[in-house]
Amino acid sequence: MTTPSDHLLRAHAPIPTESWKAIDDEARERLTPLLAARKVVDFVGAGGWHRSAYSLGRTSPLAGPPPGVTGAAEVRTRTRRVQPLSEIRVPFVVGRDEIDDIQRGAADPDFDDLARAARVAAEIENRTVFHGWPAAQIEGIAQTTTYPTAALGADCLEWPGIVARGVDALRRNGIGGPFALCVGPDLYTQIVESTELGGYLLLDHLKNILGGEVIWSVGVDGAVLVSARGGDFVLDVGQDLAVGYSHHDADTVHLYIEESLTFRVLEPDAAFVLSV
Amino acid sequence: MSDGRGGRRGATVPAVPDITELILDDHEWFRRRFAELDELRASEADPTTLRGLWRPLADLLDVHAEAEERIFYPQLLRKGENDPQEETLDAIGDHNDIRDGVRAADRHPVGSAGWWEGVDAARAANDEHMGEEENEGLPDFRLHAHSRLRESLGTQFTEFKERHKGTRGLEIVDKDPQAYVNEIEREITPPTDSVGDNSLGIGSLRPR
Repeated sequence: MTTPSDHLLRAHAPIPTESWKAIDDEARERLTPLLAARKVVDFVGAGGWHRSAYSLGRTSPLAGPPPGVTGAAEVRTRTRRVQPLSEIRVPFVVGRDEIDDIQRGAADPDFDDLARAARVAAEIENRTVFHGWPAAQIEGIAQTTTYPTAALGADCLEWPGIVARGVDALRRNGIGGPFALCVGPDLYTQIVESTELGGYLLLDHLKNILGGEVIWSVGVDGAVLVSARGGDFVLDVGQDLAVGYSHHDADTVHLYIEESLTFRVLEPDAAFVLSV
Repeated sequence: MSDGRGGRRGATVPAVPDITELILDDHEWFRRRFAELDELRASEADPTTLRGLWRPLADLLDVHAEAEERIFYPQLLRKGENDPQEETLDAIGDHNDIRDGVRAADRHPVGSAGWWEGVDAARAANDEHMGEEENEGLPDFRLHAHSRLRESLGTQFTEFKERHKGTRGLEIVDKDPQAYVNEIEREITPPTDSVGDNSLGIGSLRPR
């Protein structure tokens, strides 16, 4: 009998328990700071590997009952609408020498390729949430917002005013705070290294305007201002981020980071996009 | 005589008290030291006198919190039955506030307004923490953990405080409460292929 997590085939990898723990710990430590979207959207799940779709609670009309049914003139038929979960699998390798060294007590294993895979997996999740994934039938926050995109401009000292106007636009539409500003890495660096006249940190000024956080968000183009009150955005996860086994040779073990997810914007008025 | 949970009634007093008593002893010590600080504040004591009282108090606040996080709360999560996850999340959050208060005080000259502000913040967080712990975590653990476990943890708690007196060898840093609980729960129920979820257990990262 198989269980929902058997598909990861971890038990078949030439990796002792202690080394699995080291790999999982490293994956968790690498992924957690990168998963910006999870800091602002509602997380639903994890529903497990068997979960296949998010129910939209809506239907589409069907042309009628199956052909050949008699006396069906008054029959009403509809089909339920769902949004499918999509699978992400990011491969990486770990040297078997590293696995052996962990068993010897090495505290500094080389997991460079795992770090790269974690960054890719996190960027996929963030980008899906903020900018969508058309092939997976997912619309992102930036695509569904009802407000025109505002340009931040090159002078970061102008940004507090622009962000304040964004917050004001949300509030005028009945969207409550706290608010979060999810910004791409380059913009974030500009924010944290800037001070305004009088020495006031730009980061602190923005946080005061938001009543919330400025979040370093890999995968975000420009910045996205969102309400973090909850109930506006849903990240539906089946298989939450996990490490699975693919195959191995004499020198390396081939693993992967896996996740299944979909994303829905429930309240398009709850986000405001800022372009560079 | 057994009380039905493996605990002992009328038994001789153990050489090392159980961990819940040791934690209460520390709480009482904290209350007395903060009361003495009130006296010094009223008498406008000089910085040397204030420092003589504050430094051991600040150090024990840090060591006590770390000892609880390493020794008490992992076992409360295992044995507690009165929502130990919530009790632990509250406690780690309070510990962070206490640490922040101590660090805030340390950034200012002893006796200055900024220093008192930090001291007051640490005290307020500690008062809240002690009240919750004494009414929630400690009773839960007394009711549901075997007396021998509590005594064994008492020994560990005493040794830890002795080994790290004055915060020696400790890195005093805030902890993410949810990550802390998740880590312990992974130890309690390690993911394997024989159970349903083999994920990394990251889940939601929204602030509580």
